[in-house]
Amino acid sequence: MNIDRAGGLFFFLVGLCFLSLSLKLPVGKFTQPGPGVFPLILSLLLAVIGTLIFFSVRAKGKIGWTKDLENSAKPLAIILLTLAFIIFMGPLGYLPASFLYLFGLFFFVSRFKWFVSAGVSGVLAAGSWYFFGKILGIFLPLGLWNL
Amino acid sequence: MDVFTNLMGGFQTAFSLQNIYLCFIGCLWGSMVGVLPGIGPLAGIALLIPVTYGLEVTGAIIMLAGIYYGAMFGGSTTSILMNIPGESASIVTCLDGYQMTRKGRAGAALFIAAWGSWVGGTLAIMGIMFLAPLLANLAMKFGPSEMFALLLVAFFLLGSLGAGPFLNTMAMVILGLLLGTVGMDSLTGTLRFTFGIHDLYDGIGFVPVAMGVFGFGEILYSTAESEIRGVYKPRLRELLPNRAELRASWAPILRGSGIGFFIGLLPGSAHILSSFVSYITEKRLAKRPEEFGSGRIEGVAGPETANNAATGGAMIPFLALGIPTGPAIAVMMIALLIHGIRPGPLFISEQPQIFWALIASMYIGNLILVGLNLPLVGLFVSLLRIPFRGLFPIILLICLIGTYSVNLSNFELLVLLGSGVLGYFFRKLKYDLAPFILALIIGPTLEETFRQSLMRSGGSFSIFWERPITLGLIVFSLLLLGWNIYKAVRGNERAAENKAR
Repeated sequence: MNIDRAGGLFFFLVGLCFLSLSLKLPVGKFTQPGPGVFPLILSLLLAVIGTLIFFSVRAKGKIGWTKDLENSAKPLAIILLTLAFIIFMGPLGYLPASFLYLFGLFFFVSRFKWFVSAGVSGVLAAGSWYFFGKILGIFLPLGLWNL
Repeated sequence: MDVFTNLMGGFQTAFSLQNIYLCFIGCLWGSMVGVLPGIGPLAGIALLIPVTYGLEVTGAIIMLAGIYYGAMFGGSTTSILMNIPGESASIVTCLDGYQMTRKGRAGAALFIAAWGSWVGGTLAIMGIMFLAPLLANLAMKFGPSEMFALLLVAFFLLGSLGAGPFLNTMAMVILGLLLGTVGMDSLTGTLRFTFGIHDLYDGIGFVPVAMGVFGFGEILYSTAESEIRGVYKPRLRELLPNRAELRASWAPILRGSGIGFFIGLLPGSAHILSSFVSYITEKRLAKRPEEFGSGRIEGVAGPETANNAATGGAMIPFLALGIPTGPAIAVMMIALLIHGIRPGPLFISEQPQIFWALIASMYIGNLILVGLNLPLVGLFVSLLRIPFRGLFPIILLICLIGTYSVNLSNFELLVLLGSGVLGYFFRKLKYDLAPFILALIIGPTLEETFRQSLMRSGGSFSIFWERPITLGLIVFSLLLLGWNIYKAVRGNERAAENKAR
């Protein structure tokens, strides 16, 4: 399967998913359309359009999974680091979590030297904490250690 | 006369020290995001949303609008000096702008781009001043059926003007509409697709999705392609164009203003489209069209004017009808909604002080931009020396804090991450993301107006053809749909013919 067809398949599956969920919602009457009407029409349309895309694009070519995975190493690292930041920001507190997050990005993804990464991360974490937390008054998690 | 009295009132508000300062900050930040490739006006506005929380609403919209038109202004700098479009609307400027740089005329190209941007921007503001209140008055007569039909036209226009094939764009539109149905149904209170998650009761947040799809997704996509090129740094005294260049520019600037303004009214990628149409127009009108692409000043003047005039044009449906025509405007709408202001037909009559202060600030902002962009060209160019690998962690952190600060919700951070991944894959699949985000924002109104129309007519679909404005708009949308289907079928036939050859 090539990448164009994969797009069609994705829309078809999402349409199908929403369709099965929409069927559980009340459709109502013409005089009083229910909350299920709109999602039902849309999910049907999405499944149809997904099918049309799937069959209208050329079938030649394949997704280069190995090459794609190699190119996706940096984005994957960013996604994992961000997920870790989201999970640990609450228990660790904003300041340590943002420092570790930035350090991870600078050191592992951007490949800066460790002391440069640590220094810049420290300055940025503290600066952002001061700007957003103190100047703009946004509540940032303090964590278990009240940092 | 009323217009001028209102405008004077607007200037009084806009000339307060705080508003001038905010306008300046917006223009400066806009120019910077316009200069930096990869961070467009959308991310620029989204990143500053948290900063506006502590501001009163007039100041907030003045600053955000400044970012929007400032980014268009700044986008030409990298196109001319480095052959890298800082903003997608400046792609065309690369063609002749960079060639002028190679011929030693970078200063003149930058000057004409700034001058054209100012003229285009100012003429477009005049257009908003006169047209937006008229359109808003007309829209006051709209019932739900007219609004539904108008939104339908907007969606089919999106389908025709989107960057990809019609089917792909429509798939993105429908996906956006579907995600817009998540949460509590506004008419019956029924929960839809919430799976018991409380954070989803109010629907999927626009801010995390917009920031995720455009900010986060863009960074995921760009991390593999950071590249630093040599930058030409012009001196201030080299900025003046010669007499021939000035003479050759005035007509393209005037034409570009008209083209940009009217294309800006349409939903979709109006800035990109306007600059392309302006470039093609200038090439067609030129005595020696073959010289285009080798450093003609008309190739810089027309497109740069057009994309700035388009920013003004795009403000009209946004302010008068509450329809955001592009993703950057959509994020601006989100910011206003956060401040409790809903742009639309009632906005101008109920909040005239905000509307006219915004108009006045745009005149001021355009002047600030000329003053900023030419003398500070060296500074903006220096920004390009910061490697992308050093910049993106900061942008990611600001995206995260910006999203978190809206509702202090970790769930919205997960939505941001999920949207970023979705945006990354859609970029890889070459799908246009703007229709998706616009549909997500307008979707709930489309559904509401559709159902309200049917309720009002007692379940009769005749409401969609009995009222003349509704009928006209529905016919127009059907014609658009027919045209798109025809184009798609013709495209497939041509592809089959080419394959057979």
